Amino acid sequence: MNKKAVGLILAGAVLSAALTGCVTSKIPAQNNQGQPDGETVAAASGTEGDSAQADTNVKRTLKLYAHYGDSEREILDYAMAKVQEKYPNVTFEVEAHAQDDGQTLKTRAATGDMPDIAHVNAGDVEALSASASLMDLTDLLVETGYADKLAESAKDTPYYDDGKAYIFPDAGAQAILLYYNKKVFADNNIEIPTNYEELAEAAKQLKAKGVIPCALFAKEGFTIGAFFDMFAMKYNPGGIKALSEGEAHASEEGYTKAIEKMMALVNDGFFQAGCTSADYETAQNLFTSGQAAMFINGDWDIASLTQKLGGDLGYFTSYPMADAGMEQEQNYYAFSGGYTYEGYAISSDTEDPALVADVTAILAEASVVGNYLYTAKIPTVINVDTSALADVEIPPLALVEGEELKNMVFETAWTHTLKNVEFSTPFVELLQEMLTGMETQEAIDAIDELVDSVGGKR
Amino acid sequence: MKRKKRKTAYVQTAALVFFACLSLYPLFYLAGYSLKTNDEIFYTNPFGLPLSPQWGNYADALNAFDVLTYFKNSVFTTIISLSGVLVLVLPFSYAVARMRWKWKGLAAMFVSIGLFIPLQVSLIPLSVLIKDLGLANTYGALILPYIAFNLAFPFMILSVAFRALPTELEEAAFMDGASVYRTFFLIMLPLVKPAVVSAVLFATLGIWNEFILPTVMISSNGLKTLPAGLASFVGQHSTNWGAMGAAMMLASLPTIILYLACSDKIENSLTIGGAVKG
Amino acid sequence: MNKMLADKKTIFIFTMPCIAFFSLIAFYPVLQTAVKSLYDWDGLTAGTFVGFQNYGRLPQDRVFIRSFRNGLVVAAVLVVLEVVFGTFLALVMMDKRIRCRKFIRSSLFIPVVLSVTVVCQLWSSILNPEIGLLNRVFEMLGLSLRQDWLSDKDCAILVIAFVNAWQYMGYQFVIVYSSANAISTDYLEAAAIDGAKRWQVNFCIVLPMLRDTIRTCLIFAVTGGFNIYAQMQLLTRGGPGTATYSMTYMTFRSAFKLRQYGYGCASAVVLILQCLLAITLINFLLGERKEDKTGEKKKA
Repeated sequence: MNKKAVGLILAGAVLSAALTGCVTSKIPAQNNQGQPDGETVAAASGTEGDSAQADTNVKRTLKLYAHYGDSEREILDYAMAKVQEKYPNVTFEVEAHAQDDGQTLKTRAATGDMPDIAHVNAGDVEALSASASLMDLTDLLVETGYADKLAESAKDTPYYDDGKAYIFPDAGAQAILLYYNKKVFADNNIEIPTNYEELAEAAKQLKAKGVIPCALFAKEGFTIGAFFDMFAMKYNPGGIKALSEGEAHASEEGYTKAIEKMMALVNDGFFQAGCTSADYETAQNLFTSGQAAMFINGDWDIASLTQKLGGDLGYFTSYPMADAGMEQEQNYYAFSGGYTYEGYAISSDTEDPALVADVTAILAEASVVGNYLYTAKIPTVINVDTSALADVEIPPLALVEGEELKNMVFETAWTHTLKNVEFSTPFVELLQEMLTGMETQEAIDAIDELVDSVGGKR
Repeated sequence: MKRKKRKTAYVQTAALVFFACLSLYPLFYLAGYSLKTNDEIFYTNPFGLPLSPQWGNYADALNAFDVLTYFKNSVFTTIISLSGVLVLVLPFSYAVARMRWKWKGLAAMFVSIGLFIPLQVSLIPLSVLIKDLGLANTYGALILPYIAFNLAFPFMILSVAFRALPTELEEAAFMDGASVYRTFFLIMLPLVKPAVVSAVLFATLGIWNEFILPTVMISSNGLKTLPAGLASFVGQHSTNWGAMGAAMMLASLPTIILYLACSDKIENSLTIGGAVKG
Repeated sequence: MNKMLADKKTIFIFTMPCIAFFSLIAFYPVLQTAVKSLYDWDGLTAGTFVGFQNYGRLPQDRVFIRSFRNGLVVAAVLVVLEVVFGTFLALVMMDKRIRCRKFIRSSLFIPVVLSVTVVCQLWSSILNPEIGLLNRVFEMLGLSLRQDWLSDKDCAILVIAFVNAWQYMGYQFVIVYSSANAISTDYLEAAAIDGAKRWQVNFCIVLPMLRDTIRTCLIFAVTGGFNIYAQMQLLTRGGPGTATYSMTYMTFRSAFKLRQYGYGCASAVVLILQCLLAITLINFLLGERKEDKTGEKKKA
């Protein structure tokens, strides 16, 4: 290694960094104090919502904290462009969502440095609403017209437990599906199961042929939570939610049977080895490569899975966990999933709330439309006239699912949208343990202990 | 007898080279996966050479976030923080190692806490503190904590290094009429150069790869450092691992170059005996 | 000379900037953490004072016991793999007859330079039960050691500790190696002339002279073990269940997942005290010793 060369390179880097650093370091700091420049100070008088809205030439930079990863980038860019159609001089400073369980947002709230607009979920709102860091959008939802756009079934979605609205919801109803690969079943001469007995039998046969019955990425809690619910909901449509609210106990007849069935499958090797540390890509690969016959994930994956499996992809219209002969009686359409409490929220100390609210409304709506255009997700949270939009190739399965969605009943919740974190966090951990080998009775007792610790009523 | 000795030397060399290759493998692995698709990385071909190099990953990486700005920020914060660390820790280490005062044990223990400060809980009080100092969302928000958290380890290395020097050095210097300051700057400091290089290297690694502070404390894109940029690859449902690998390659290169440049200095042994005799 | 080295004003100038800076930026937040551990706090709103209730809860918390135990396990593994093995390698490398020393030395350090994310990604692939390298190698060798490495409740923590050790062994190696090289060859030559064999030289002369260095390495390994976090987060997210929780991870979970910030602070304080205790112990066992010119050792 030529020392002189390295030395020169390093020196060069340092010098250029120092020079540019000194010059530009001051400038960002000024902008960050959120001071609007001259024009908007005049235009925004706080109470005069109308005049601010009318002035669409307002110049403003808004801090936006949202998901900006690979797959979300196009959608967000599209949404921001839509905002600029109405407000050409509003620009965004996008900060990619850190996905760190709200650590970043919470810290920003503590220092008073909240982004103007942030994409939040129930967990974030629980912490931030208590400290009054989020703006109450109850009136603004109406003023911006977003409330009218909400679909009937979604009218309640913006409201949090305390009765106030904190978000412009942009997440539609999503079901968690049990996917299957028609070809794998056909190749091995196994019938697609319709109830639990057939499922267990199919799993045995698949294993005998060296096929993993089901791929799972248990590193993320919601997948196992959904799996648990697939059994539990046949007896109590409230599933995990009922447990988390102390309304039900695992030792009740229904739940006990569900847990027994579930543990029987798991202990027999239903999932791939190492599923508790498997992440999404690994599990999806096992499924799409034909090594696993089934897969658990949300319906947002239909597009990606169809790309890889084409017509071989199918999903169970009803979870095949019912007792034989009782398929229709046992809550046929009970599904895990539903509306999640997710959407765009506004910081409580942003300047000119009316303007920011209007921008956010456009952003949220455009996100939903963008999701349709780029990932073929049929809009469910707001009413969108899809015929007026560009032609999107929707996988036939997605269309089918979109129709079925209207029949589905969501009385339970995803593990990470359960309001009761004291229940959901340990519950997910317990489920992971159950996957690595546990006695059924032990599991039932542990769950009951947990339910009691959060105020279960017997 | 000599032949046997040579044989053991060969065996030892072979074993060591084997270890060395094992240690080098991750670099190739990273280079490989920065050129693979998601599928290859996880399933089809995790360990081998990329089947069809996806140079596009590098383009994605450069487009995902403003790599140049982040890089510049990383360099800037690292260098300033390092300077801060050295200015504070060198005299301190010398004082603890060589000077006589009652509280030096306690002071040493106090600063050692820096080794294991739980950032997760200190984060909120720390950020409020930075805000109260008026440094929220500036370079200072990163530099001040980096200096503070990277005092402990260099302190430990340097105090050991200072302690290893013979006391004759100071005796001779004082007899010649030098003050403590002159002795420190002109005699003691130059003698611990290898330790200083080690300390700088370790502190640099600690700062360059650190990702929690720039993500949480800095909200404006113009000030973030490289590790914070990695969040841009992680989506809600899936991650572009290939592009992230490319970004990590770019981020790792400077540290590797730095290490290779410094490694000679670290190896260089100074015969302390020589310093006294001479 | 002693007078000059005891000059209060000089000492003050040398030490105060460091101490003051550290106290303000690093220690003050820690102090606040300790104070908040006495509260039932969610991180944002004003909490309610509950005294030592959070601490009382700790010994009954299954997760805490697990984390504490894991910390000790990891620390032990790190000491063996990083310090013992690193020192061993360094001493072996001291042999001038080994070729390609520069290459070996440089390579051993490369894992340290890489970011934790990369190393964990790599090991995650290697340890994959279905397609990972490790199980395949065992298969090839005909050994029936195939395992679900990261899913076994008891084994997973050892694996995580190993990954950490593997990455940072280079650190210890470099530190010990450069200290060992700084030992005056006079001593080694004298011993060789006296007829001492290499391993005798190592044990009786080199190691004792490396006492301070090894003490530093031990402190680093032990506190690093108690503090381990990134590997957990990336490899298993603390799973399966809570089997691979560390104290730091538990703190994070309490503060951000359970919104029990005050409780998290309490476990953080316990962690700090644990590390301080470890340091005190190590200092006591391997306390500083001064050598005089003739190489005889006396206690400081």
